Amino acid sequence: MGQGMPPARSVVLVVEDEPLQRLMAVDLVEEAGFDVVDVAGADEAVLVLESRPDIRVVFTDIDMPGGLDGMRFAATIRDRWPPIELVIVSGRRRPRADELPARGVFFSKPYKKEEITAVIRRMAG
Amino acid sequence: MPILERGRLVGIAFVNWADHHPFTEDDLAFVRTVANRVQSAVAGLQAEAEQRVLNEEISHRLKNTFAMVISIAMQTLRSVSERAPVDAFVRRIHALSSAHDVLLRQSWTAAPAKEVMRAVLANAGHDDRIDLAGPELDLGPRATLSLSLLLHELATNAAKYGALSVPDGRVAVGWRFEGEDEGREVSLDWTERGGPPPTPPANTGRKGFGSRLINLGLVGTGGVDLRYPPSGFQATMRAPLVQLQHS
Repeated sequence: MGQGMPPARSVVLVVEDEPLQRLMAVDLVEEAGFDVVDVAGADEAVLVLESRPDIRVVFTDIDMPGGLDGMRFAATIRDRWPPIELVIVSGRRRPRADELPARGVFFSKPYKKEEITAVIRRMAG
Repeated sequence: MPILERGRLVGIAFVNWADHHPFTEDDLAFVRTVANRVQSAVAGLQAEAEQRVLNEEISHRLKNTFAMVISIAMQTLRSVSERAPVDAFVRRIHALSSAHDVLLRQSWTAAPAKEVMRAVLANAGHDDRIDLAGPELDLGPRATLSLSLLLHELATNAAKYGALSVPDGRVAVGWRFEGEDEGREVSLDWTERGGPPPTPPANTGRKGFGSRLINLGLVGTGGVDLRYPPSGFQATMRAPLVQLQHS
């Protein structure tokens, strides 16, 4: 891996509180050919976003305990970092289109690896 | 008039009369009846709302559990170089998850057959090339799961070797009722066309899990007829209506 890649690889931030699911998400992003930073919650994610201007895509679970509610977190990103693309996953009911932040793409859990990979490639590739 | 629920005061019925009015026993009985009916209607609505919350919570946990199972499988099988069985496993879990989705929308009691089929075939990625036709039929929870896994396998096979392996191939899924009363059966046909002529599987060695799933039939007890005419693979599956609805 890594050979022949352009010098500035897009970075994807994975936000998932459940450790096993986070591991899988990290693998998925790496296999898709991107660099990855992973955190367990929204508060941490905001800190990362404040210090890493190279993040192009945030891939986030929105069923997160404590701190910022997942949907509000997604809205915050859209607000503070408008160029960042959002991939949102949840085990709860599919949000209505007007509840999703602009350009946000939603997948129900359990999500399909190929579908997420395709969307992240389109967004960050 | 107080309204009690399991000995707890949950409401009070007030009655105002415009002028002085001594209450008769009949008046009191009437007020009591109205109060009780209001109370049971409210209790019914509350129970429904609680059930809805509970259903959503179960659904959420189930979806998360499916996601966990897939995560564990992916981590455990990470070093396995042969990816086909790993992919097949993950896809089957997704098929199961789609069946649960449909069941949940109906509070786990029964799921409309067409919706179940549409969900699992969409999950397999082929719903636009599969035509569904049949009378209204509600499936019980067990039949919903077994039919979903079965159709998932048929769609997977069609995509690998059959009608869905070429751009113009299609599949028709049709079902109908046969027989009367207790003997009433559901007969479901899977008919492929426009694909390469099928070759019957060689009858050697152990059967794969996929073909065993198909041979289990609609409710796990067989009743499956597989045919390989040049026009395309065909399967007919039968099961007693009672078993489809109540298992």
